[in-house]
Amino acid sequence: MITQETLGKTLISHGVSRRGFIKFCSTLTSMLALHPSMAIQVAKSLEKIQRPSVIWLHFQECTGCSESLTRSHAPTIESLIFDYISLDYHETLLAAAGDAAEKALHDAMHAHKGKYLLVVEGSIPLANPGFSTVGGKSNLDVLQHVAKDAAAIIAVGSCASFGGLPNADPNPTGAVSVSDIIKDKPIINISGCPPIPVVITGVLAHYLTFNVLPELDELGRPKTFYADTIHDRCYRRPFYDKGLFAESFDDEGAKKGWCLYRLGCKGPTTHNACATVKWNDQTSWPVEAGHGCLGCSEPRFWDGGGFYKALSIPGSDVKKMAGYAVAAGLAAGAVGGMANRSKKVDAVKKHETISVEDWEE
Amino acid sequence: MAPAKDNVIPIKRIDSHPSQDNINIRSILIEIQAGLDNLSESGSRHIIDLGAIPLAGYEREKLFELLGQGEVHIHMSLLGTSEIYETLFSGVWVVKHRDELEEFSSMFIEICHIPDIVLSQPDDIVTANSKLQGLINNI
Ligand code: SF4
Ligand code: SF4
Repeated sequence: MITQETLGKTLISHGVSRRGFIKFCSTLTSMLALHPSMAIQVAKSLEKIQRPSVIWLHFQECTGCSESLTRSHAPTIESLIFDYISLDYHETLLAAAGDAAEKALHDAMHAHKGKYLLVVEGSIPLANPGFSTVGGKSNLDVLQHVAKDAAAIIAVGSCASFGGLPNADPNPTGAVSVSDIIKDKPIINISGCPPIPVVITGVLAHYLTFNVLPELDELGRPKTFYADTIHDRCYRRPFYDKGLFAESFDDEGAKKGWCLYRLGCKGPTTHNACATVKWNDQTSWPVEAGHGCLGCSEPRFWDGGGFYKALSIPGSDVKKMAGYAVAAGLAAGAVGGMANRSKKVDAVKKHETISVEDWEE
Repeated sequence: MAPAKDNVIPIKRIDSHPSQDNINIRSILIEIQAGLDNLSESGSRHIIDLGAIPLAGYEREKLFELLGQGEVHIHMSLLGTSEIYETLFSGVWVVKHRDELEEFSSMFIEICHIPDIVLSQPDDIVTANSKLQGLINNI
């Protein structure tokens, strides 16, 4: 059913007071990483915005992204936003099946032509269309058909954004991302394996609030959530800066909460919001639980050379590392020396791991 | 120490997060102080969104502990509960919003005379007035 009710009116008609609405908007403003003083402006926008139609397609994936979203506890802000959109077609949540489901898709596309949001979960196999089909139609055909009249596309998860696990070497299905196929629509990539539920709803909320898609980085991800690296915002960063690293998962350093860099943490090269937004209703996040970041929101993270191998150090970090090494009491001349430089640069290019000893040589 | 029973997994508690010179907490306290300067000089309010700051859970708890609780404590029941209190530092308020499952949905430190959300809202006042009229009519 298509309703013309605005979000503000919907909440108020559900018995939520103006004060409650301000609470909702304060939380939403926080979720959108806007300055807290904007809560009142957000409230004003939301009072006017009407609910958008959303069509959600599943291709080669594990449905973990939908699970991430729907497993968030109701009635959180995520669920309020999720309830508010008009989710006209979602293959795994739809009660209808067969022809009735096909009709729901057709009706939504027809009624909201040019205006609906298309959410895609999963990668698209190009090696053989038969590798993944829905109702006898290949993922490629369905994507091209539904994308044609969409206002914009949201690629949810690392599979839809970058190919993800199906695209991992040797990529037997020829899996590609949405943006490898669709070139004439705005596409927003919400990467992560799975993405943080608040980030999915945050993007929907941004669209609801401002009626435009948020600003994107060079990989098509919303800057609000992906501008910083995990490392930029990690609470263990002061230990990294002092050169205090855990060397194994149960040594003194690990017990003292030191940096997990040498245990393979990919935080320095991973853009995501886990360090601030956290997981499970802000309970914790992987690094706080004692495990390094795997880099799940970056392209080809499965082929990154091993989750427990220390990251290759990007060439541009050489100066920084020298500074950190000084702070850590290492020999500065050795760290900054050029003798080993070509090996480091080579390793970076090939994305091989180099040891801390290589740096100290 | 008594040996662990066969069917019991021994739990060894460790202090996994000792001080890291309180760098993160210290920077927030400095921001609060700058907010207090502005509040007393120009009356302008400042809000710190704790959800946007990379603090570990234990650091957040330590921050609340250091700020303490002052004279005013407000409890609100709407879309879950909200706890609002002035800290030991006048003009520094903690605002914690929880959803209906008592999970934190957002947390702020507000440097102001009183957080906006506490004030009665004009539309709610209008509704209250007509409700009160109904009461007067029927009494
Ligand atoms: S634990 Fe990882 S993200 Fe955190 S400071 Fe260390 S390397 Fe960076
Ligand atoms: S910490 Fe890293 S691997 Fe873990 S969910 Fe966040 S981005 Fe993905």
